[in-house]
Amino acid sequence: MSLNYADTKGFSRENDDDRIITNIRLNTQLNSRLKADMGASFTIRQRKENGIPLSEINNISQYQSILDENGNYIPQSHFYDQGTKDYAASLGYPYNWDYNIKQEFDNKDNSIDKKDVKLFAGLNYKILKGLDFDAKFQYEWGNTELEQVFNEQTFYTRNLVNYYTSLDKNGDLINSIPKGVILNKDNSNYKSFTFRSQINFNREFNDGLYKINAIAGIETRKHVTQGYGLKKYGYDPESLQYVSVNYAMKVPVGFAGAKTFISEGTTFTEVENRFASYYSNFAFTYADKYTFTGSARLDDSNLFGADDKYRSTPLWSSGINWQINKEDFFNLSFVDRLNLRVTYGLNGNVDKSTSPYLIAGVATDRYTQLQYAYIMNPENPSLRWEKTAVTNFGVDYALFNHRLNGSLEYYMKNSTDLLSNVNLNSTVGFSSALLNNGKLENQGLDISVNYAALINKFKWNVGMNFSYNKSKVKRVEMPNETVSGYIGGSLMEGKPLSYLYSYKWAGLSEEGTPQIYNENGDKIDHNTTLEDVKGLKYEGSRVPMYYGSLSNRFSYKNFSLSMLFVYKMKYVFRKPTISYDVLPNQPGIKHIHEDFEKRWMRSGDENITDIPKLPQYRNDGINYYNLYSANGSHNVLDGSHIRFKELIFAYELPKQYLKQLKLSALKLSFQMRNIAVLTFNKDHIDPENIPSMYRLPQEPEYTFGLKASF
Amino acid sequence: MIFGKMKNIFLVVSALLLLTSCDDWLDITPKGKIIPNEAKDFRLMLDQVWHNGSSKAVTLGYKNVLFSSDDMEIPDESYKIEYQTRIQKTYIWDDSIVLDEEEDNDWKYAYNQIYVSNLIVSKLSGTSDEEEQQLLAEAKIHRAFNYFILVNIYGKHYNEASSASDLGVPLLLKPDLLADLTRSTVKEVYDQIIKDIEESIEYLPELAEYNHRPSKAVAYGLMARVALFMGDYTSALSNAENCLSLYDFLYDFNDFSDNPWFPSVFEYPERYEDKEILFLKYSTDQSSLIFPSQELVSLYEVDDLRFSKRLIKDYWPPEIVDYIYNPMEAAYKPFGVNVAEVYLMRAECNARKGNYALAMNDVNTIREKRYTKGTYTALSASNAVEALEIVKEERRRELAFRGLRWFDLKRYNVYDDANISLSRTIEGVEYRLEANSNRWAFPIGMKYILKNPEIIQNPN
Repeated sequence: MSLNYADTKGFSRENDDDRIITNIRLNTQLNSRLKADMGASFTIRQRKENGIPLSEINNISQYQSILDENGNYIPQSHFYDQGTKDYAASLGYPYNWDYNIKQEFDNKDNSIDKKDVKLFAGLNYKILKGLDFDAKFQYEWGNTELEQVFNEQTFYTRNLVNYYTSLDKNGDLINSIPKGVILNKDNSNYKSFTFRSQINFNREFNDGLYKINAIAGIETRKHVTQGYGLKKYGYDPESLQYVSVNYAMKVPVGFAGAKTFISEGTTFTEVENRFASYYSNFAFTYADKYTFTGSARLDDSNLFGADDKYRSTPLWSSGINWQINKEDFFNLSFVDRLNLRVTYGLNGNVDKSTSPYLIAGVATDRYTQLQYAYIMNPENPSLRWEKTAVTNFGVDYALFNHRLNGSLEYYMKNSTDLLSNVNLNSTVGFSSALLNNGKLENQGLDISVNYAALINKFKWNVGMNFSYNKSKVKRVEMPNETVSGYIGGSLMEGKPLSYLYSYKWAGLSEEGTPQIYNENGDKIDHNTTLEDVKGLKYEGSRVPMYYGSLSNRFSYKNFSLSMLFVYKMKYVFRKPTISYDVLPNQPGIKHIHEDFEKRWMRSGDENITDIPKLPQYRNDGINYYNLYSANGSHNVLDGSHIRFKELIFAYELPKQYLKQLKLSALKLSFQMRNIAVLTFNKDHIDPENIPSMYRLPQEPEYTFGLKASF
Repeated sequence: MIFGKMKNIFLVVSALLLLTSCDDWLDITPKGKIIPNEAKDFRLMLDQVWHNGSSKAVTLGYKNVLFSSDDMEIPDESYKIEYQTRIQKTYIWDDSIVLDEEEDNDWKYAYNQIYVSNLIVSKLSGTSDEEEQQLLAEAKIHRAFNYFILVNIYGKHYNEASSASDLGVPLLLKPDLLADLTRSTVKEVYDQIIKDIEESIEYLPELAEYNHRPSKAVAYGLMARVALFMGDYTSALSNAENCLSLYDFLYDFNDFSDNPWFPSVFEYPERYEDKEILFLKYSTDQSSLIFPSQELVSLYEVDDLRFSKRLIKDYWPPEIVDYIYNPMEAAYKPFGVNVAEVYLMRAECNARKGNYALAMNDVNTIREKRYTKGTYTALSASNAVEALEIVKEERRRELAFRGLRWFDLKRYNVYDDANISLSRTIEGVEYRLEANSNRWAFPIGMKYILKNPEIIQNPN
């Protein structure tokens, strides 16, 4: 039995997460043949989400003041311009329409309550010697309740009530959503049933000369999610009453005389998924040295819109394993283990987001109030599994009393009927679809080395992993051999699955506009289309070709210190830059990319910057202005980096003190994560941590831990 | 004892195990999703009036030709600021409008709707069920409308003499993601449009409950348009008459009240509730400003409510431009078939056939409902030629920015030897479109040609 409590603080103040978890587990031997096992776990979680998310911070302009010197809210530009808001106020609109981010923060009231229950029971029945039957049943249930109370200070309520206010024919105000608190409530729950029955066979023959391990089983699972939501206007949290509104009639909104229905906010959802798996593994060992293995598995589900042929995915593999160190001829005493293994397997994969049949979603139109269907996935009768054949060669070793151990593995994966998002000609009806489109080959090497040293009471464990992977597309059925296809990364023969091409950057012109080189090495401007793909530059793979980690653990008496470094090498990425799709001087623009500071401003700047000048008009025959500068070779950087990922310092209380405290263990720890990174590009950009409007830079994390066991 | 009990449990468990291996257990239909296969599913697909997921609405029209016609005249000050590059290029009849990597939305949206029609046609062809026959007919009317628009934007105007060799558009008639996209001829496309309409009429209801659903009135109205464009005035006349005998409602603009926010314009009915719209197809451009050309403005009289309540003064500083087309109405610019258009088609056919008094009747029916009460006076013509001129002018006034003017210009050049050429001047540079220019057929998006080189580009 265990009890666990966790309190996590979010990145924003007033985001809070409390969790209590209990576990109970029981084992009983009912008789000599039958064992039973059951348990339960309960989780209760309460969250408050009253902080300001990044999306809301984006609402306000850079360098915008929040409070005046007396601590009053300063109206900030958001939604309508301030003039319109003041005009509405002068007409006598129900609420003041000002927006202030601090006011939002002060008035949020969002809570999420979650409860989860897991119950399981298992039986194990010995049928014969070495043959037994396992049955396991698991039931899970969970409920999430979300409550959002928008009081009259929140912009949400003030804005909605005001938006549903308009003038009638006589110029009088009509107000269709009553003043007052708006309540949103959502409730969702899931139920999941898993049932597994399995036969195990483990037996030795001829005094262990032959050994057979085999299992076969069936697992079925059902997962149902149900939910509903409601929204009430003019809600009074004290008396629990609300005001009815007319959902059946269009009401005037906004400043132009448009009409729309009031959102009823009532939703129902229900999703049911079922799965069935049939599996078996078989291993035959001879003389404890040679093992032959075989396994097969078939996964089936209620995948919508598929016939059986496509729905169930098969998988099989077989292999041999040779423990060389057990051979008589092998007499290197420092070798504790040396295994050679070879396996070959084949598996099929389907993408659940597509189907051979046309799938449509059903919704209700907000203007006609008619139900309608829209296409989610076009018909694709020729859809097939993506098949992958995997060949593996591996060596496992342990030397010097297992102090040095590890493995070396080489693999080759050949995928056929690769599923990829193909750009279609929109003339056929759609601009893209997931289709079987080619062959892919992956080759790789994984090496791991672990070493443990003991010097007096000082222990040192070091572990090293190194991986190499090279992917190469062998064939493409529907190639997209156009400049936009190359720049967009369409599947291409002879290239990795994920690659990067760029325009050959030729710097800025004397007028500060972007230029690239064409296939003949001539400079072309942003009004000229590059038509020949030979004018593009191949930059390399977008995924690391070499990667791995290095871990170190030092311990002395009751103290220990662990460090983890990870590295990724040989790949490229595109650095984000400013786009003049929207101009910084346009009204309503709140954020400007920092590159704006470095833009071309006067003659001569073309020698020191690659950021084009601000175009006079957004649409001034801009053509390839943004495309050439965003996808130019000057913006491609080396992604290689080494990251100091984790450091843990721990102390365990010595045994002699534990007894007095009636504890079985007490551990104190201090953990640091994401400590530092070493990059190899000139801009020192961490490719896995590029901050943007939607993502805050990753900060180091610190955790203090106290773990007591009774 | 216990062992016996356990044996029973074991048997029950084994039985369960066998049960669960049934395929039926996995055959459940998810909620809120369908594989369209029967009438009620296709009804839902044909009621999509707003884009969602991978399908555009059946109500989506087009926009390019709004900017290429002579009803539009953009002031220099607005040309570069207000319009996307592709509209700027459309405005000067450039030989390429979208970049190599860009989609041409007029083309894309029409073919997306054609896919939906093709899907329904392929599933319901040959049905004898009454409801299914109606849905099949509706799908064919949508397909006919979309091909009609495509062939008129990207092809030369229908001309008896050359239509069998003039290039139209790829004619896809079944859902196929890997179809051959060779362009059919203008004649082949027109033949298919006529076939689709003719096969549909008898299965459609006389009038539809919603204006996005095809009806007999819509089919006759569309057929009148097709025949008119082919120069077959007898057929156009009888189809227009069939349409008007089913439905001929016109609003009297005097009954409209002023918009409370902008009293200089009317509060027009919403597009889904507009009783003059027979077949709702709205512009894919909801936001571009529409500047009426001086020539268009000069066609109106002061008491014409289509002038005083649709063209707004004081919206823009007067030194830049006098009038702008009511942006609230511009935002829904219905491009489908509407009642006034059918009246005007009947009038045009009558005028061309010499029945000039009948022609003037229809023109006056419309005008009476468009002028401020008490100011209306009937127009008259003394011969067929005069009547045709009046009908053409009225057509331009009534159907301004309804997506037809560009096609009319092409049509007059073919059938009336009108020899209309257009010109624009931007910042002192003159652009011309000669009457015999190839640019009357819009260039096809390079993206489509690069992907499927069997699509031949229109000559410059």
